[in-house]
Amino acid sequence: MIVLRYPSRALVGDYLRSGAGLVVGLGVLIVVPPNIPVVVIFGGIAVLFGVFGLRTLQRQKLEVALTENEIACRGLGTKVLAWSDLDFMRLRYFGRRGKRGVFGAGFMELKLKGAGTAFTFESSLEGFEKVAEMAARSYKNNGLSLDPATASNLIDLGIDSDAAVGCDSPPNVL
Amino acid sequence: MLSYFARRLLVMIPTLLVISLVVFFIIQLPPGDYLETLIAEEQARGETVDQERIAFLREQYGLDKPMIEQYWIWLLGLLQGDLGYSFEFELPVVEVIGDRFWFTVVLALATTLFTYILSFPIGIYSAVRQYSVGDYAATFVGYFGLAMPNFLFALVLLYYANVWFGLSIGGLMDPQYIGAPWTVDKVISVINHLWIPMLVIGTSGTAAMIRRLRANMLDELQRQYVITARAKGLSPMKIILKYPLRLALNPFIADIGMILPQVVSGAALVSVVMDLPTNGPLLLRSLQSQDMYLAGAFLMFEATLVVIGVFISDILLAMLDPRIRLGGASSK
Repeated sequence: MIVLRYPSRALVGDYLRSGAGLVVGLGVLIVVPPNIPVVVIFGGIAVLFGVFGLRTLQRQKLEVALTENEIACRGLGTKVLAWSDLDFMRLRYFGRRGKRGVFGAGFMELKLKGAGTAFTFESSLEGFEKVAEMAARSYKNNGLSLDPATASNLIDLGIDSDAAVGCDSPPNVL
Repeated sequence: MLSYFARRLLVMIPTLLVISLVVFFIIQLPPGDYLETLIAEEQARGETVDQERIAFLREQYGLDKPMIEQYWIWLLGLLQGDLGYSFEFELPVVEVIGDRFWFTVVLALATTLFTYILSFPIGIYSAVRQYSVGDYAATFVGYFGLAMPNFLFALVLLYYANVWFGLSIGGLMDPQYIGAPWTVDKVISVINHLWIPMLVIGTSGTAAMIRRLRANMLDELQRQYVITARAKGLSPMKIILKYPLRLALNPFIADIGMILPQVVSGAALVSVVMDLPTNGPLLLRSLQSQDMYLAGAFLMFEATLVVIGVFISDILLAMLDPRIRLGGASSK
């Protein structure tokens, strides 16, 4: 079993973003006499960044356990998904405007669903590639085909989704 | 997606702050202020200048305060929907803009709809039937629209509508409805007048959109997945609608960022030529007369709409277009 976590240094940026958003949202609500547009816009910003902060906190507590048969997450609650139940997989890349280097090159997001359970991981998760690789292999083993964008993003992570069903991962026929 | 949303939103906030700072200092840049212009005008007319009144006005409008304090007051006002005071019209900016804002919104929306409804089918047809008579005709219309300046097209239409049909097509309603309360007849009059500026302003945008959609579609139609889909016997309509069209739509979505500012500027030159009661002419006038708060409100509003438009188009693109990372490492 492999246990993965979001490293603290990767979450610092999200905490800072959440704090900055809350300062702006709540700051304007305090400084400016309240009226409906101000409350809606800046209250909305404060709520959004509050939720973002809570999600970052949840990520800090999150532990992802990987085995050959299932993936499990323990944070505020516990969720388990057997690889054989996986029926949805999507790997998306969110780029950023401007040059790389200043704000980084963007990040990837992996969504997994099956048996009424859903997981979302960002590429800042330690061992993200391992999760993506195992998910892709299971997805193929379940007889499902990946969408082109997911397949291309997997290749960019160094995972050949077509080869995933090959020699590395023989189907369990014995 | 929440991360992406939060990150993009967070970039918007300092951007808008910096824009507000730049806008405020730009409107302060010309030497003197509106009151000094007023003094010069009164002296030129040989009238005596009441210094007490000028001092009162200076204090009233906060022009005697340091610039940074003026900026802070202006910014807090903006957040509360107080766009400031128009010196020239001697009215709050909100009242000066009044109905013009809604006329501009209606015109911008009508023009956008016209552009999309027309360019969509023509662009697809032009790409699918490349080098056909229809494609050449669409290309001709496209180049005509791109080459003809909007204000010139407006002048030509004004002239021929008058010479051939004896019609005056300027304005956005019949003269008897200007300043009158809103009635069904007034709405009908606006709709009857709307198509001309919509045609004039929308032509160049439509032409550009047709060319872009055609080029994007041609690019996509030559991809291997389209050839594979054809080889597998998928119906031509399904092949076009399912993937190439979806990918070719990106410029339409990306254009949202540029459409929103038009709501404010409202094709200023065409509005002047066609005597349209939109924001454009008022913006030009406020810049000429150094009516700083009126000009500042327009500039700030326009910049805000650009930032919001780009934000919306980024979010829509992220939702509709599955992005593929091309080389390099994503940040951890």
